[in-house]
Amino acid sequence: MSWAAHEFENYFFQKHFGTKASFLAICTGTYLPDVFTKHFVYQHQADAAQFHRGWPGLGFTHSLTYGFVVAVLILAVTKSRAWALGILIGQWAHVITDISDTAGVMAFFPFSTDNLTIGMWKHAAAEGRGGDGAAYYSGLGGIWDFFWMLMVLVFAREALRADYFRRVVVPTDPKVWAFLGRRLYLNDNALLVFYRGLFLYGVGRMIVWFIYARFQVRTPWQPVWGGPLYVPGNHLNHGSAWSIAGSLAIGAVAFALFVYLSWVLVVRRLWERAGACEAASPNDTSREALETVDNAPRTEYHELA
Amino acid sequence: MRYLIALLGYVAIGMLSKQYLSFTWGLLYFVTTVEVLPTFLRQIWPAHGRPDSSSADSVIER
Repeated sequence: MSWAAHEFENYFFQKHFGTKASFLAICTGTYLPDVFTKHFVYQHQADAAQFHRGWPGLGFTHSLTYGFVVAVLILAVTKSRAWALGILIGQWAHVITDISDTAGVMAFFPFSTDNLTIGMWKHAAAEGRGGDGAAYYSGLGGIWDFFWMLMVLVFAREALRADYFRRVVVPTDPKVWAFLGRRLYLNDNALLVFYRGLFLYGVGRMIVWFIYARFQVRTPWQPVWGGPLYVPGNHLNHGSAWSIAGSLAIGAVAFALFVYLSWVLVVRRLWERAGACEAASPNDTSREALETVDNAPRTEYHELA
Repeated sequence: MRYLIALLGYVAIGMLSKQYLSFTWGLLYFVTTVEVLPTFLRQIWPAHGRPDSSSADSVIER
């Protein structure tokens, strides 16, 4: 699991995909694997890793299949390509990031229930929330967060600018931003802070938990592969490396086949239908909204919806 | 500057209270300290000057 990288990745991918994906959908997708489960994971300290990432357990939430299925459902219900793509990007980014800890993820569930992992840092949910945070920031996890913060600041800092928010982020999702503004009684400036808030939250979280680990619980800082060494490993895979690799390879092929058949049989139609809906209601499209904002800088977001 | 102060405040709250703000409270905290509170203070104390040019206020035209 990752403590701040999930926040930073959102801006990086938003910058890469621009108006093709909704920022709010990317964030929703990022939190999708843990939002309903994390609280309960810390209550299952005896088998936290199995409960969080395994099967039987809630490990299916950390699979590529889960993200794909939810994205297709979102596409069917909302008829929004930007939201479906955003959910898919966010959830897959979370899954791929979580490959880095020792528990790993069942990336190709249900085609393979073996966990894909590179064991870069310990999965330490068994230590409870505080112990988990301390362990994460005592191993390479904290370095990983810092790396993603730098990635955003170096390669995607434009995504943090007010102008980018106004030109790209809001026009991709004019109705939702207008809804947030109305419901939360936020003006345009406050919505901008709301947008940037996730980055601030990530930076703050990274600093606070690092200080907590170093100066409050004083856990040893062991930024080595598979560290920190004082936490017992939570490996979920059993069997030889070759049998696990074989199972994962079969799972990957089966998953690719599943995605292809789903696209051919169902998803392509939903995708084209969503495109037709967006074309039929030009006020909702990114381009139109973008032009509206560019031509009317004094327009409030709720007027765009 | 407001963002930096808010960030330092977030760290201070975490250190002093040992209660690390969750996602929802964190977002609420940043929106309040960076935008809502300064706007409110300017309204009740308008003589205190113009908006900070480094803040979000001067970037989005309204």
